[in-house]
Amino acid sequence: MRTFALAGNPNCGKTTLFNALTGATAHVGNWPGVTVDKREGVYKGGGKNINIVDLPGIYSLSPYTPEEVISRNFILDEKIDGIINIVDATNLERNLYLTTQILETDVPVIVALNMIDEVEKSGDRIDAQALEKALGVPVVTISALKGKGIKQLMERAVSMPSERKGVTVIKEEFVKQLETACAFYEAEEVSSPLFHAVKLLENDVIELERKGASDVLEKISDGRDFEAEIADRRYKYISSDLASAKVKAEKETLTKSDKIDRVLTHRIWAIPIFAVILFFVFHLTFSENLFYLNGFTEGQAWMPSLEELGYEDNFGTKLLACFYDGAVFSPGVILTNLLNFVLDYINLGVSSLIGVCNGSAWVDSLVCDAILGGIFAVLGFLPQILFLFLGFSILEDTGYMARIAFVLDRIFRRFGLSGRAFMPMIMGFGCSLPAMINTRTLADEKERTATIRVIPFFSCGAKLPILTAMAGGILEVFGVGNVDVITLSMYLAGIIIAVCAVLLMRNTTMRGETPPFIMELPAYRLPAFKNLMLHLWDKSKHFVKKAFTIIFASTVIIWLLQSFSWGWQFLLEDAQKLFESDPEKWASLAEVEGLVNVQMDKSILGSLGMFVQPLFTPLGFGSQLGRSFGWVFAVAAICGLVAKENVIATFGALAAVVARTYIDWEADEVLAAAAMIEGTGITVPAIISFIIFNMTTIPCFAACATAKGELSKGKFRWTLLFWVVTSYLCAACVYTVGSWWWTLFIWLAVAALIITFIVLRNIGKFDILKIFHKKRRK
Amino acid sequence: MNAFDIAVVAVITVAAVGVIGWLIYRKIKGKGGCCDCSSCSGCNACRKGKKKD
Repeated sequence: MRTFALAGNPNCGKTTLFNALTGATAHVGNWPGVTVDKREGVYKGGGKNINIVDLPGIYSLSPYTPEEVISRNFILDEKIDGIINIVDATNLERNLYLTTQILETDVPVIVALNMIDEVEKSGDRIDAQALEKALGVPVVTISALKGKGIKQLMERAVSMPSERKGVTVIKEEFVKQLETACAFYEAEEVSSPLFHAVKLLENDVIELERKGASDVLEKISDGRDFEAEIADRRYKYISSDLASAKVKAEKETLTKSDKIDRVLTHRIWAIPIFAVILFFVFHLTFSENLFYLNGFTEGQAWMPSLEELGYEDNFGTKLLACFYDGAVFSPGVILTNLLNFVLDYINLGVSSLIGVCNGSAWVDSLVCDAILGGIFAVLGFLPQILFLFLGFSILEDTGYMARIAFVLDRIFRRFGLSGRAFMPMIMGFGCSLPAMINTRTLADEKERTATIRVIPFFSCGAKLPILTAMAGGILEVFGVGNVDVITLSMYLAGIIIAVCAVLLMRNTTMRGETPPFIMELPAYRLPAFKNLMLHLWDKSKHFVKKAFTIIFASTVIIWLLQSFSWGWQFLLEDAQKLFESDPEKWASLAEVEGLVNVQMDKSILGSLGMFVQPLFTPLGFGSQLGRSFGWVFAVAAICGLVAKENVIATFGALAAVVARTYIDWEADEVLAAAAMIEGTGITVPAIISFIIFNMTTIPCFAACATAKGELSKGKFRWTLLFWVVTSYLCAACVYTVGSWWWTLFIWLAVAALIITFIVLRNIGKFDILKIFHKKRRK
Repeated sequence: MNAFDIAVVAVITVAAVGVIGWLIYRKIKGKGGCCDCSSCSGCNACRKGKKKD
């Protein structure tokens, strides 16, 4: 099968073209550096299958960044049949700099002038034929986003001759030097000798590693540094020989993007605007009082509930309550309510079916309480997760997130990170894994390690159910706060913890210079509907897959552990059902509940939970919750280590047996969390502490495996320790300060001591190693 | 325990064992690194992706 590589500058549309050619759904974003490694796919459009390799975006073929090394090695070593050089037609001059280097290889090249529709829209014109004549390789105009010109591009790529000799634009100035260097490489029988010869003149470190190359360079250079001269010659060639192919229309000097940037990247207003945009994304996703139409406080509320309006409790009212019930709900909440409405009836239907089939109470408990309760508790969040990601995807695809990286660079720099670290962090809101992989764009090893360590603090999609369910539970039981405000606050708390952790690391174990941040700001673009839908489809597919595999297996295991004792004796599962099945047998429901509580504590899960429970006492969800069901929060936190969705799935599976107020056919995750709160008597500070602990502790197994792969040797075990210590301390701080306000002064005193120690150590006034050595000498 | 109970338990046992077996199989085959992050086509994190390098 023939192989073609897609090469080009960052954010020129390589991955969009890759998706269009192969039908893949690789992540596309409107910012440079989305792709950090090569990926492969198959083009089936032209009769014969063609292997397409998407290379990471690069500005040159010199080894300045890891992406450039990956692309260069692939082009030179893999004996590919051709390079499709994608050129952003809106930035022709800068993109052609790479083209002049690709042309120096002996690999057949075709130039794809992408975004030609945007050029035409702006009134400019590019003469592709003139460009083709000047470059000496085929040039095709395309729009990868709209799928225009792709067929012609591939037809011309396939019909290219299989052999080509490299050409260079610097030949006239460096004739003698190139002849000598080429002769050296030809004698070495290296492919693309001209490319290697030019790179040797540029003082390329990879070329200098070759035996004898430095002698050749010394001989031909006479101590001169050609690198800058060559770069200058390339740009002169582009501006004099190639730029004439582009005819610019007369227009204002400021583009639309420039005008928008005047506001959105304003020195003072940029961050408040970002905060407002973020608030609206969260408000539209989580708020149960859209635009605060029903007032900001309970006292201002004027909208009547459906019950107050005299609606009877029937199917129609329940459906209406998905949209309005004492307040207008946000779109995210409406979609969630509608899905839960359907899931509730599925659960009720299954429960009725079991009853009709004379199924035992324990079968009903296993299927409805444990399996469906657990799976639906997680699935119920899908609409809100998708809505939140739709908001993030729109911000990313318009090019706004790239601006925020630029705006935040100023602030990040104070904490020892560059603005580039913001992009992986933002990706962490989706999933920690691709975010950790994306840190490869960070050149500094220490900055990269610090970023990987704090990525799990940026609450991923799997942690969202914990935040929303617990926030809903607080509102349901204590009547405090708003779900959207609590959720947003928890997200912000994660960011603040990440910033503090980075600050601490960059001043102690990860000290070093913050590298400069240079990023090309992409033009603002309207997000492509297809791309947005692909992001959401992928998210839903994997979420549902996870619910019916890992979550399903986990809930069955949890049910088994809670239903059996160590002696493999089946325990009573639901006091309410047991009481209703034979009311004459029992004196009261309380008697049955007491019996169930005792039995549940004898279960395998109960005894394991009670064993680990004391560990969580300083965090507020340990021994103080008592032994009867008090261990459920500890168990949920530990189950979350497999996959964070398991925390709420565990609540869903256990809710029916913990609190009789929980109606088991209403597989509602908020009610499950409320049942846990009521059943255990946990306090608000302890709930917040529970959320903080789950947000900052060791992430899921898959994220740990990725962190291990991405971190340098020996760093992973310290990273695990870092996650455990950070989560424990932060949760303990939240619980103690929330419960006893005066403990804030103790925490502040400890923090002040640590800061003093770090500052003294950094200015050289206090060196623990020196003190230690002095003592030893004495 | 009637026939319905046995049938339900059998189905759930087969499904749970199947899922756990499938997870173990993926781990053995080196596909266990998948994070379900929805970026599989662009991800080289699992060993399946690394084999191509």
